Order: sequence, then C-alpha cells, then structure tokens
Amino acid sequence: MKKVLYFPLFFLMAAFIIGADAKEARAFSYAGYRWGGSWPYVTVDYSPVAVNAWRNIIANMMSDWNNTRARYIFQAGSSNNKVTVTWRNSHAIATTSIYRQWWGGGNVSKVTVAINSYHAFYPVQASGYDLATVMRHEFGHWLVLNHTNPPSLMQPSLSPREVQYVGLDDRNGIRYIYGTR
Amino acid sequence: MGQDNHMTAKKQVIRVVIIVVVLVAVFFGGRELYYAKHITRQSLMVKLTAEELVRDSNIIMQGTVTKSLGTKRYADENGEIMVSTRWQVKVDKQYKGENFGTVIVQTPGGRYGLTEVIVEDAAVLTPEEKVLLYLSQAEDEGEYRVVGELQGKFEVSEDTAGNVTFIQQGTDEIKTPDKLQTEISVVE
Repeated sequence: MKKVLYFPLFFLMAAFIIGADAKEARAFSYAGYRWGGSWPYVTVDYSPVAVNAWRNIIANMMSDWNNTRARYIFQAGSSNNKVTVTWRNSHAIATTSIYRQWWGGGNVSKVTVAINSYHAFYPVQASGYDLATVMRHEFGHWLVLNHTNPPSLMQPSLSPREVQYVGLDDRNGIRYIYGTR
Repeated sequence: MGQDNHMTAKKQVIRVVIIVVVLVAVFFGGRELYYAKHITRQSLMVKLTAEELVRDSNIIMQGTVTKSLGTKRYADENGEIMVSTRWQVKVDKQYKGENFGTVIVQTPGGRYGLTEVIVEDAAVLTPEEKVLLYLSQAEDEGEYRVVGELQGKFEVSEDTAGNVTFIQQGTDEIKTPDKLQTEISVVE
C-alpha cells in the first residue's frame, strides 16, 4: 500500500525538478528566428554617427557581445546594417529594426539601429541616458534577444544614468541561439 | 485568305493583351516585392512616471475600441519602412482634454500588402476592448498616439459591484479612477 503512495510522490518531485530546470534555462527570450549560417559574421556600419566618442562606445559594445564567445561575430565596416542618430519627438531612446524576407527561411537579412537624439546621452550630458547601456541593449536585439523583466540589460525601459551590463542570462541566451565557440 | 487575316489579327490582339498584362504584373508586382518583408521593431523606452504620463498627454480617456480603420505604410524619420494601424475609439469618460466623442488612435505595427511590421511593446488594441488611454497628438497629424507605447494603455476591469480598475499593459500595475484623478490634479 505504501509503495502505491510513493509513486505519485516521486512523480510530483520529478515534475517539480524538471519544471524548475526549464525555468532556469529560459531566463532570456528570443523571437525564434536568427541570423543565418553556422557562424554569422555581421558587419555593422556606424559611420553615420558623427560624434567620435559615440563611435568608440559602439565599437566597444560590439566587443562586449563578441566576448560572450557565442558563435557570432560583430565587425565594423561598410554595410546596410547601419547605426544612425535621428531626432524624433518620442519616448523611444533607441529603436532596432530587424528585417527578414518572406523567402530565405525567415533568417534575418538586415538590422538597423536608430539612436533618438531628442533625449540627452552620456557622454555629452552627465545626467543623460548611458549610451553604452543603450547600445549594449540594442545589440542584444540585433542578436534577436527580446525584452525581459527588469532589472536586466534587456529590460524594456531605462532611467537616466542607469547602467546595465551583459548578464549571465544574456550570455546563455545568445550561446543557446548561436552555439558556443 | 480573309479568314487567315482575321485569325492573324485576333492573335495579334491576344499577344498585345498578354504583353500588357505581363508588364502591369511586373511593374506593380515587382514594386510590391520590394516591400515583401517581415520587420520587427524593438524600442528601448523612457521609463515614465505616473506624473510624466499625465503631463505628456493631451487626452486621457476611458473608452471602447470600436473597430480597426485599416493600416498605412510609409517611410519613417530614418527612411525605414513602417506600417501603422488606425483605430476608432468611442469615448466613455474623459479625464483630461477635450471630449470629441470619438478619437482616431494610431498604433505602430500591422500588415499592409506584403509588409508585416511587428512592434514589441506597442499598445495592443482589439475591437470591443474597454481601455484607458493616455494620448498625445503630433502637431502635423490629426490622429492620436498612445503616450510611451504600452505604458499609456490600461485595460478597464469592472467587478460585479461595478467597481472599475485600470490594469496597465505589460506591468499589470493596477490604478483606480480616484488615483488617476489625484495624479491629474497634482500635475494640473
């Protein structure tokens, strides 16, 4: 009789362990599509950004993601994948647009990032939004990560002077999507 | 002989018609193929406080989404392809701004032809839905936009006793009409 009782108990414990494990493994969110190829090298053109200090920050944030050792490499150069600065009366600090064709397996074909100069940014204004955090976040989208709950790099909104870094969940996320080097 | 001429003329007409149809298909179809794209847009937004939401709104209204008025496709400030959906919303109660009875609200995203634009964290409206909206109007446009995207959209919930609460999209933060009135009076 006792053995009969053990079975549902064992089943419940197994379900709890499997459920907890699955939750831990999905502490990131992505759209299901990605850049094509087993090891995509994607060229980012940030030449439209006029401020030299900002261009340096953008290059450093590409390195931040390259250092996660996922099978994905950002490189600088001339490309349709552009980072631009545009003035727009909007609450969006920056916007990433991910393009996919109807054909080609639904892989990402182009990405653009527009930084909204309607808002103040650091460097230039100390009380502004941290450009390094903004670009880290936008490159996360570039790699097809979606928004996650705060506090995290991929949280949907940001306060002035708030700084976020590439976290363990973000690193695990892109390693899951692209594989590990 | 006359019958042969008639047949030749008929064939010529058929050829011309086929050529015209193919040219029209290539011209319009080819143009549309340029727009055959899935675009996903994700914006990092300013975190708005309750006071900022009120301050940046021309209109704060509780209403019912009547219907979708369709989509439009255009190039945005960066020259990127964009699609927006227009909604007709009937005003049930006005908290701030002039009451027009009905307002047209534009939300980013939607499908137009072969272009599909998905905007993460945009305010999501559905027909017959009861909503509380914080709206602003661009100077050059007649339509309203939701302030701070999903931050400015609340679902209206009413219990069996008739008590109304507003639930913010995305955060599920709850607000009562009294609290909203207080926030508005603080700003004004």
